[in-house]
Amino acid sequence: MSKQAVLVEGLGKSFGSSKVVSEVSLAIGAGEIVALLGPSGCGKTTTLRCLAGLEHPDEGRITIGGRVVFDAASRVALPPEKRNVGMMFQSYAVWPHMTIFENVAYGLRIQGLPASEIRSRVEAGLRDVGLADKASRFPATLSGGEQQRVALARSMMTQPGVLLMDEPLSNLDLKLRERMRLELRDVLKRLGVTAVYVTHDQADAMVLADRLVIMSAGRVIEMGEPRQVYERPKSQFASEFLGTANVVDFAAVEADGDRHYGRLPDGRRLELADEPGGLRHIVRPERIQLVAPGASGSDGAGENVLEGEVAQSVYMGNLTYHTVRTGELALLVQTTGAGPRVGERVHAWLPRAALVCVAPT
Amino acid sequence: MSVAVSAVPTKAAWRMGENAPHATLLVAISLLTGLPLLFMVFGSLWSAAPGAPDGHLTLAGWREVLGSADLWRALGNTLLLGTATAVVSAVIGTALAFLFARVDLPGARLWESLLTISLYLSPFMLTLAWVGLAGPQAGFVNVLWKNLGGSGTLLNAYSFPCMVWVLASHYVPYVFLSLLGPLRAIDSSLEEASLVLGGGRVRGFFKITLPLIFPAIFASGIMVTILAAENFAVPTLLGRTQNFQTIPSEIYLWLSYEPTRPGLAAVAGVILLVMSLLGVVAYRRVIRNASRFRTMTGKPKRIQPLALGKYRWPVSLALSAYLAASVVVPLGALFVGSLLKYITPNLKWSLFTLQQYERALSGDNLTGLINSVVLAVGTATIVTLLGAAVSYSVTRSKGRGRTVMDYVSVAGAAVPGIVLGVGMLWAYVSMPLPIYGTIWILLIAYVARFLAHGVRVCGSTLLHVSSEFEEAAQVLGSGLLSRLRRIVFPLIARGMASTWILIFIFTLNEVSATVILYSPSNITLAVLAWQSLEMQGAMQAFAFACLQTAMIFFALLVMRLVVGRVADPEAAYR
Repeated sequence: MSKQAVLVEGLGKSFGSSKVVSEVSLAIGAGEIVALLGPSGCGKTTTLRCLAGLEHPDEGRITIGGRVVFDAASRVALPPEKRNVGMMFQSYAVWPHMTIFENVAYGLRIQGLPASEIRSRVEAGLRDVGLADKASRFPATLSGGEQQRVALARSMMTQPGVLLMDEPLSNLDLKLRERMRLELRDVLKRLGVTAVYVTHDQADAMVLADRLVIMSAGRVIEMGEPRQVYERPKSQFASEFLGTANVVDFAAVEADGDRHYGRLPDGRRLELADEPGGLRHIVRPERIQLVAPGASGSDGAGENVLEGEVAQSVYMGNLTYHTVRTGELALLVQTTGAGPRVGERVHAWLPRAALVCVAPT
Repeated sequence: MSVAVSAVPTKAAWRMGENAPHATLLVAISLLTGLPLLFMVFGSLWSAAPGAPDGHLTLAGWREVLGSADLWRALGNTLLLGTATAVVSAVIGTALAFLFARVDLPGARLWESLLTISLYLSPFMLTLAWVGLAGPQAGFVNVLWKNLGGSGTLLNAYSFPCMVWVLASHYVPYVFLSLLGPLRAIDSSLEEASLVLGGGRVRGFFKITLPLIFPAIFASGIMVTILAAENFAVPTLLGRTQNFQTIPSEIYLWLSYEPTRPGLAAVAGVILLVMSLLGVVAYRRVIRNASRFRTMTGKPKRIQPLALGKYRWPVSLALSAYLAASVVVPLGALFVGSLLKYITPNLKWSLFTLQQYERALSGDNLTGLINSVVLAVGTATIVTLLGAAVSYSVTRSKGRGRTVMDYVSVAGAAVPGIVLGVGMLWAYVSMPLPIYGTIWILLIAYVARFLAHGVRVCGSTLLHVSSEFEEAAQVLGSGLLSRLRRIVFPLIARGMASTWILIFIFTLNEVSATVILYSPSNITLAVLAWQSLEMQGAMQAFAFACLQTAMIFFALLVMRLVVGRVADPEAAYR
C-alpha cells in the first residue's frame, strides 16, 4: 500500500446554488504538512470540514489512512466520530468547564481506556506541549497560546490519522503567532504527524507547510513546495497571493538563436530565461535592482535594464519600496536601506531568471 | 487493510443533516398552540357550544359581536388601558434604566434587584393588594383617611388610574431591563464627542443618548401595550363596578356567567389574537430598527458615570417612594390583611387571626396548593427540557427549517393567556381524550403558554456555546448523546436553571388561561384567591396570595443563589 495518508478525489460541495468546492483532488503523504491557502470564501475551510466529516460533500471520495471515509458514488459517509481525525479550531474550542487534564483526556475517555493508562498518556501529552504543570487548571486561566497548545495535545491524544487545523493561530497576536508557528512545526515534525493546515496567512503557510495548495473560488489553482510556488509560480493568482508581484505584459515573445525575448508594447525588449508559454510574466520587487545611471559596476548596464524615474518611495525601516516609472510600466522595486530619492533617474535591472511566465488570472 | 472491507457505514449515516427529530419537534410544538387556535377560529363560526352534536357553521356570532356597541367600547378601552400603561411604564422605566446604567447612583445594583421584584408579582396579586389598600369602603388608606377626619375616599382602587398604576408597577421592570443593555452599549465616545464640542451633560443626554435608545423605548412600549391590553384580572376586578370592560374581561364574562356564550368568547378571542399578533409584528419591526443603533458590539467599556452630586439624596428618596408605592406598601397590606378578621386602622392584637391560613391549608384548599406546586414544577421541568431541545435544534440546524422552527417556537408568546384558554376550551371539550377538567389540561396550557420563554432563555445561553466546542468532541469520537451530556449540558446548565425558576414563577402566577379551564378537581392557588374574593371575602384571598408570594420569593432567592441574575423577560418576543 502507498504511503498516502490522505487521498481526496474530485471533491465537490454546494451550499444552495453556490458551488463552494469543485473538483478538489489532493494526495497527502504520511508525515507531510499541507497548507490549504487562499482568500476567505475560497473553499479551503469547507474542504477541511469535509475531511473531518463536519460537512457533507456532494461528490467525490475521501480516503484517510487507507480507509474510505466518504464516497458519494457508493454512499459511504462516516460521521466525524468514526474517522479518527484530529482537529484544531480557530477559537481553540477548549472546553471551559473542564480542567486542562480533562480536556486532553476526553478522547481517551470516550475510547474507554483504563484510568491509569489515560493518566500516563495525558501527562506525556501535556509534557510534549510544555503544559505538564498546568494539568489541574481551568482554560480561562490560560493564555491564548497555552490554550492553543491544550487544543494541540487534545487532538493528538487519540493518534489521529490526520490532524486538521482550521486557522489555529489567527487569534494570537503577531509576536506570539510567529513563535507558535515554529513551535507547532517542531512538534508536528517530531511526532511525524500528517497534517492539513487551513490559512489565509501566507507567512503561516510558508513556515509550517511542506507543500502549499493555493485555492480560489472553490478550486485548486496551484500546488507545490513553498519555495517553488513563491519563486516559480505558474499562475498570476498564486504569485500575487504569495507576496507582491509586478505584472509585465509583453506584446510579443520572440526567439533569437537560442535566446528568448519578450517585447514590451513600447518596443523595448527583455531577455527571458526559457521559452515562455505565454505573454504575461511577473517579477518580484526584491529581484529588481536599481542602479544610478552612469554608475559602473554590477550588471548595471546592458541587457534587461530599463531606464526610468522614481515616482514614489515608501520607507519601511528595514526596506524601502520604490515605484519606478519606465515608459508605460510602473514597477514596484524593493531595496534595503533608503535607496534613491523621488524624482531621481534610475536604471532598473530585471535579471532574466526573475521574469516568470504565469497563466493570467 | 483493504479499503472495501474497512468501510462499513450504515445507511443512516449517509445524510448527517437528519431532519426527522427536528420535524417531530416542529410538529409537536405547532400542535401545542396551533390546535387550540384553529379550534377557536372554528368555534367563532359554530352555532352550538363546544362538544355539542347539533351545530352548523354560521357568521351569527361575528355579526352579533361586531354589531354591538359594547364590543367597540371594550376594544377602545383595551387599547386605552394598554397605551396608558405603556406610557407610564416607559417614562418610569426609562428614568430607572438611565439611573442604573449611567449615573453614579449609590447602591445601583441593589436598587435594580429590588425594583425588579414587581415583575414576579402578578398583576392579579397586585390588584388584590390594592383592593385591600384602597377599597372605597374598607381599604386601609381610606379607613385611615376617615379616622383622621377626611371625607369621601382618598384613593379609589376601582378607578382607571389605579388600574394603570397596578399594571405599570408590574411592567416597569420590563422596560428598564430591556433598556439597560442598549444604554450600556452606547459607546461613550459618542457622548464625549458631544461634550468636547461644548454640548454639556444634560444636552448630551437629550440630543445623543435619548435619541439613540428611543427605538428601544418605543419597542418596549409596544410590548407593554400588548401585555397590559391582554391582561384580564385587572379590568375584571377593578373595572367592573364602573362598567369599564375590555376584550379580555368580556371574554371572561361570556364564559363564566349563565347563559355562557362560548361562541362569542371565541369571536372576541380571535379579535384579541389578531390585535396581539399585529402588536408583536410591530414590536419585531421596531426592535430590528433599534438594533441598527447598537453602536458597540463586544465587551462594554467602562463608562464614565454621570455624577449625581447634591441630587444623591433626593433621587434615593424618590426611588424609595416608588419602591414603597409599587411593591412594599401593597405587599404589606396584603400580608397584614391576610392576618386580620377585617380591615381597620385601629390594629389590636385581638383582631389578628390565623384562621385564613388554617382554612387555606386544609381540605380542598390544600389540594389547590398542591396542584399549584405540582403544576409549577411540572411545567417548569417540561418547558426547560423542551425549550433546551428546541433551541438546540434551532441553533444547530441550517437554512429555512431553522427560520420556520424559530418562528413556530416563539409564536406561542404572542398568544394572550385568555385566548389560549378559550382555544383550549374549544379544542379539548370536544376531543375524545379525557383530559378536560383535569390537571393535565392546565399542564398543556401552561407548557403551550411558556414554551417560547423557555426556548428563548435557553437559546440565549446556547448562543455562547460555539458549535466548535461540539465539533471538537465529535472529532474525538463523541456521539450525539455523549456530546449533549458531557459538553452541551454542563455549559448551559445555569441557563436551564434560570429558565426553570422563571417558568416556575410564571406558572404559579398564571390566572388568565386558568380561570377559563379550571374546574373543582384541578383548582389552583391563584383560582382559589380569585374565588374567595367573590365568596369568602378579601381576607381569605389575601392569605392565598400571601402563600403564593412566599413561594415566589423563595424561588427568587434560589435564583439569586444558583444563577446570580434574572433572565430578560422580554426575550421571548424577539
